[in-house]
Amino acid sequence: MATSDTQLHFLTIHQAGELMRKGELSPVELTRACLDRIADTDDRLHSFIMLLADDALEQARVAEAEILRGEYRGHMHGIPFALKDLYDTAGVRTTSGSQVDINRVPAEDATTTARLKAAGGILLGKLAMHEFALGGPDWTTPFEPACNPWNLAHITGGSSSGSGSSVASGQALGALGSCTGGSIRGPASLCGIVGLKPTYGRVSRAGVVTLSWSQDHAGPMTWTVEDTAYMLQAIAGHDPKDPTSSKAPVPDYSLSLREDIRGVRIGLPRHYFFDPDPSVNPEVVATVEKAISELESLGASVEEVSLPSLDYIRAANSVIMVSEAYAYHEPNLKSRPQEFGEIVRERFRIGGLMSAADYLQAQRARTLARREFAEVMRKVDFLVTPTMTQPAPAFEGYDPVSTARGRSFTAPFNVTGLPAISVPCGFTESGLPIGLQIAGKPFDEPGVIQAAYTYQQHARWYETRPAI
Amino acid sequence: MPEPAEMSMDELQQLADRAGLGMSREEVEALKPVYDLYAGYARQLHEIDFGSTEMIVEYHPDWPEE
Repeated sequence: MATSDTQLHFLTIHQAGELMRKGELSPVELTRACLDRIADTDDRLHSFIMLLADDALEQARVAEAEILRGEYRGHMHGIPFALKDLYDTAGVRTTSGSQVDINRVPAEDATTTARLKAAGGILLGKLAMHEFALGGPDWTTPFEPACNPWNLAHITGGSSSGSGSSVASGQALGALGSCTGGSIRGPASLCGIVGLKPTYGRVSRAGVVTLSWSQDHAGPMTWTVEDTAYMLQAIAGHDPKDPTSSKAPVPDYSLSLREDIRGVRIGLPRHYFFDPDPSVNPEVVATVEKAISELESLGASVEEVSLPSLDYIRAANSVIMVSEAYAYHEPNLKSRPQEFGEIVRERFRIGGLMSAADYLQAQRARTLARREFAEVMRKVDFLVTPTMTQPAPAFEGYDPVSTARGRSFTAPFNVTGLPAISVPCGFTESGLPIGLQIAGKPFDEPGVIQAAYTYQQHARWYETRPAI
Repeated sequence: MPEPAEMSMDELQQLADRAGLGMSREEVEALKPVYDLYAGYARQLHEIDFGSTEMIVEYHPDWPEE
């Protein structure tokens, strides 16, 4: 199997899968192309914490032999992917981006890791992340922060920072991120890729290092919507190892890759996501407004909806997050605090200073918000918003505390558990990507994927890659 | 309802000590802006009129109930 294409690393999962299925591309050739791409770019991007080149090539040889024997397993077979370094990998160090876990070697794969391997995926390595999935770029941790492929002086967003930079730059065809307040959709938006936070319970959290049990989600980050559907297919489904895992049946997500949103009802919570606010960039809002007009032109109807709970939903997300994180990390925080980076050490300590009443009021707020969102989602099919309040900020002058003071466009869907996807919808004048967020009803990943796919195929932003 | 007074550095140090965080004065001073941010979040949550809303700590994946 051989191909003369010199840009193999820019193939999508869909394209590569088609070529492999037809015997026109070898998993070994594709894996080598990704490893070469990593060698060419990672001194500038810092996407990878650990590269597993030899293992990846060995897995690729196995996949190649299987495919040649006619044992093609599906869309992920022979596809090089990478994991945020909080997904457990049996026998392979999993650091969560922290000195605290610098020597931690899990005995078992996370359920999601195991499922991607079982689908035939080729694990390239473990990716950079904000320490324990919180905060921001922190030079007091052992690893260099990942840089944005669209402009290396800018952050990728986080906490799935390496997932964003690796997929956008063609180092990996897909990656898994994790998301507690926006850590999949945020870097997807800022790096110009697709990121899906599934419904809470849709994808197992077993073997994914905890930030906040009740708000953590695992999900795919890819170049296109169809690739997200394929990765989701491989990892979704009930897992007895995760007590919050749903037994809802897993549909065939590839059936949603159809261009049709005629008759779809879109809700716009303008008061929070679109009205002027000091923390929201007008260029982002204008770009998303244009994307919404395009959705209307494709047959969707748009109506304004009111969600008063948005005013306090970030407070609930934040208080629950640090309280649960403190409960999880308390032993290490007390016994070896110096091993945490400065940003995360402070945030986790705040969790120890919150009261039981604070946490319980946050959970009651969440109950109110969930009820309110459920009511609105009976009237509309999707909520459509900007994914982020800003394009990717520059490293210079970046202050995670200031950022935390503004609105969060992603956290509402962690608090409510609704599925939400970010799909590229344009660029700023300075060339930084902007994302469109589409959130759906519980377990309506098929609808979310179809709406995002329809927009993607119409807008075709995926045709533009970063020049790195 | 009276507004809670802003926490002084000494009070924050006492709170951290009671939580067993073992923080130096310098660390407490560095923590103060972040603490104030989260104290503001907590204050906002305590001002909500919840009525009879119960808290649900366990998240049920198969919601909303019909």
